[in-house]
Amino acid sequence: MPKPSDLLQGTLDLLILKTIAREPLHGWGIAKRIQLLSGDVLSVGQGSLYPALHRLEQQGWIAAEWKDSDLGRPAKFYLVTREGRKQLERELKSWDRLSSAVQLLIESA
Amino acid sequence: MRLGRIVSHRFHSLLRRSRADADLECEIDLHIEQLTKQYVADGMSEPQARLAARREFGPVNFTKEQCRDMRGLNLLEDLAKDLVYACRLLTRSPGFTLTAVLSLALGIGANTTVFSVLNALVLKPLPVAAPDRIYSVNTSGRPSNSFPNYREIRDRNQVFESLFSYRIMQVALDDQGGAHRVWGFLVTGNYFETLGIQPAIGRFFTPAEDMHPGASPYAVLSYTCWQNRFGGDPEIAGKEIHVNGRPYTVLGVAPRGFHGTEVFYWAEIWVPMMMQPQIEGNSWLDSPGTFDAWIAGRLKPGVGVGQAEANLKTIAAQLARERPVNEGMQLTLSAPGMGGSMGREPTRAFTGGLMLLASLVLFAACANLAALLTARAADRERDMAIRVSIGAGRGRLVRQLLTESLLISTVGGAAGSTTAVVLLRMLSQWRAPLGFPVQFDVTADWRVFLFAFAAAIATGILFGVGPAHRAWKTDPALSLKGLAAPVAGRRWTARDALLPVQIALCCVLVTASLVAVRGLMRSFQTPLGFMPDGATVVSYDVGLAGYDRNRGRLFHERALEAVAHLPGVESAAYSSSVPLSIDQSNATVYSEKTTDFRPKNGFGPTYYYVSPGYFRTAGARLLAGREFNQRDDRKSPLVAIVNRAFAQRVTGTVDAVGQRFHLGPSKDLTEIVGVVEDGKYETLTETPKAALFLRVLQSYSATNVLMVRSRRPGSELAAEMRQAIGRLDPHLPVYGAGGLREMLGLVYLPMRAAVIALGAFGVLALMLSITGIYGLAAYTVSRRAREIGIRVAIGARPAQVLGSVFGHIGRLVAAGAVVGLGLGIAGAGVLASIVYQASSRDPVVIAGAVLSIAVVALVAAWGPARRAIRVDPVRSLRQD
Repeated sequence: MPKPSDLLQGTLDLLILKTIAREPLHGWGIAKRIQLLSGDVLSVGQGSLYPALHRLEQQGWIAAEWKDSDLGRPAKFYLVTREGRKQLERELKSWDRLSSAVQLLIESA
Repeated sequence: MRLGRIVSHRFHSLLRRSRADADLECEIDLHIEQLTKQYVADGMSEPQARLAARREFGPVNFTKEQCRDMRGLNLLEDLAKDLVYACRLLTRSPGFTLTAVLSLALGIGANTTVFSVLNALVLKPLPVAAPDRIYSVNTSGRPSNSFPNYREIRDRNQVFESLFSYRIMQVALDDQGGAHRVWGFLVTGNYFETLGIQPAIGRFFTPAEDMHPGASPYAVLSYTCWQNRFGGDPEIAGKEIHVNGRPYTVLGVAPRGFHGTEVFYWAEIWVPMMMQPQIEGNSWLDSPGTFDAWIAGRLKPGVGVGQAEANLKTIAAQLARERPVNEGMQLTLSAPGMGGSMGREPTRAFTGGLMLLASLVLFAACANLAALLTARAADRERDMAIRVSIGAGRGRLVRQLLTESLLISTVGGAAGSTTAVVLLRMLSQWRAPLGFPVQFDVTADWRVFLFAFAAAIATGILFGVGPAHRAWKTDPALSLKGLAAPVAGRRWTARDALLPVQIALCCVLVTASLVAVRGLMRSFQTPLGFMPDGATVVSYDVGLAGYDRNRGRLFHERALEAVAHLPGVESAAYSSSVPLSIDQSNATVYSEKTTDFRPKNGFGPTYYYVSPGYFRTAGARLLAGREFNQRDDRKSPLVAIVNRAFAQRVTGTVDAVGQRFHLGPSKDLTEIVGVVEDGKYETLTETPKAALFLRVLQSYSATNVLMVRSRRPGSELAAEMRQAIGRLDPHLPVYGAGGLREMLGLVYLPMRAAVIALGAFGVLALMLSITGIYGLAAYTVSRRAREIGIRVAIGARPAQVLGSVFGHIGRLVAAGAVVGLGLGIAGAGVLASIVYQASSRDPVVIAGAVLSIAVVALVAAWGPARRAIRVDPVRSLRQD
């Protein structure tokens, strides 16, 4: 199994928001989901995941609550707020712009 | 409100900090647990899996710290921690803290006080509507013009929305306690509406009520007058009061805090200008040659000063063509409040100069503190290095050091502004003993507090930046090895520059205070042209009691008789006014051959009406001719005694006896019968001015100053003189009673103020220098104890030890002193605006400054020097 590649700077927020946009998840779940959905290509280091979650919570884009979890004890579940959804829209747009620009560059260079 | 939510979230999490921390702990535990389970599932043993999970997760505490950072908790919490830590450090070294806070309190206190005076005199606007549109109209540099000219300017100008005229007056006002002399303004009817103020009660008079001379006996009282003299009577409007013994109707009361448009002068009563003939006894409302009407007005919206002055220039030219007396008249604008431009420029220069010197005190305090803090920072280098090496951010260290210096400066600033507020309250309540309502409100307002706060923050940053910079550059590897201590090769550090700066500033301030003291001494020695010591005066104005000329003349003579017979009186006389008092008048004099009586052909001496014996009583020396005598009366030819400057102007020599001149544009000639020495008449700084003394019997003055010469104390004699006059007319208000020297207080006032202020600055600067030199010396000795020990051990004598330790400091002090003296000499211009005849090239001043710096240096270095000599080589070498 090849080592999952490092995340592009600034895309972590996007990934987190997108991941929990469908359903609230706890930290562990978010890390696993990102790894799973990206076919093991992307991996979020714990050292950056939790600070990022706290930052997003601070910004008011996500909220958290303690709930019983599938892990056998209560866990902190994160969910996207209304502000967060708007932010997700913005992040998606800018990601589209960035990736198409990169794509363009690769194709024409 | 996203921002609101973020802030509330932060505070929330700050309050529930432990809970949030526990949450985070759980969250991370859970994660590690899951990782462990995964590894177990992959086939590791339980302990192996746990270890791998931990490794995978990375530094838990670091992650926690980062999460806390993200919550924005740390900023607030760090600040609180920094504050607590700074407080702890400062209380641990109370000596340092006390020195720091005290020197800042003095520096900021001095600045706040001076700023407050500057604020009150120059910055604070008048309490009227849109004060920035009100301007004084100056006539050739003076605030007054003739009333006919006022009318012309008012009617012809196109730039003023409204132009009013006013005049300082004194009246006898009957209140519940009898007649008192009260100061006020005669003002034209448009005065109040132009200023746009609202009465506290009742109403103000209007232009319609100021149309015909003598027809408007109305008065407006100041708020203080209403409260103090009429008990705040709510029914005062419409009541009748007695002004100079005649009935006037009170229309209303001016708003609280409004004392007229002059900053120094607090009026108690306003009366329509048309009452001038009745109030002053002789009318000048139609006299084109009497320049007694002050003029000010409100500019039309959109009209600039330049445009307005251009318009006034045209009008002045017209007026000069129409009336010869107006020839050469120049009309200019200035901000109101201080006799137009006359008082404003000197006041601005005086307070500005003081402000500059005060800021030097603050700079000296900053340099002092920066040196102290840098020394402390050097001692804490190891401590800083340890913190850096265990992972403290440099930014964090800098923040902590700045918190420390800001804490000191804020506490110092608070102490300083408290001192200033107390001082200012005293200053505001103080009334100059001048027989004139000179008072000004210098109590602190928001501008002052803003200034003090800004000064505190600025100083905190100023003296905190050095140590912070040092902390930023801390290299743990070097510091911990003890290598960051001053390396022998580098002799001059930034810290070394601070001491000379401080000494230089101190030197400038000491020079300034010595110059001020010398100036005051010199002004006491300035020949006044009379001898104030031993002379006692009492003043009154029979006009206030409604006397006519004949009764007035008789009264003056009877009063003279009464005081001349008091015990211990050697001689007595009276005059219309005395030199250097506030009441000075000028006449226009033409030479005998003049036929064209235009002002440019004559000159304007100060004049006094005096009785026989005046010169003997005043102690003025006659150079030629004789004093007046009883034979010079209304039937005899007009005679005058002139001073030397006058005589020289007329004849070119002192011997002018027998010469004649025209007094004013009249055909009558006045003969000079005596010549008296020159004196000072309006200010101490004036160049010799022509003065003219006329026989009082050949003219008349309602105001009268009785003067006696005696060896008895002035206060005692003044009381007896008062009583003697009281026996002649109990209803006549008597004022200005006391020794003539004290009565001259006004002319010495700026000088005294300068001595007090500059003296205080000088003392502060010296204190700062002592702490500065002591600090550096003590620090050097403790830092170099080991080196001194070695020197002593290999046989250095005490003198050599001292030379090696203090030579450096001595050179720094000397360098600072030389620069400071140079600056002091170069800055004489600033001093000249504060001190009369300021000369910093005065050898006494230079010697004094050098001597005081030398004494300060010796005193400050004494303790550390003793310690350096007593260093025990064995003990100092065993250290560490």
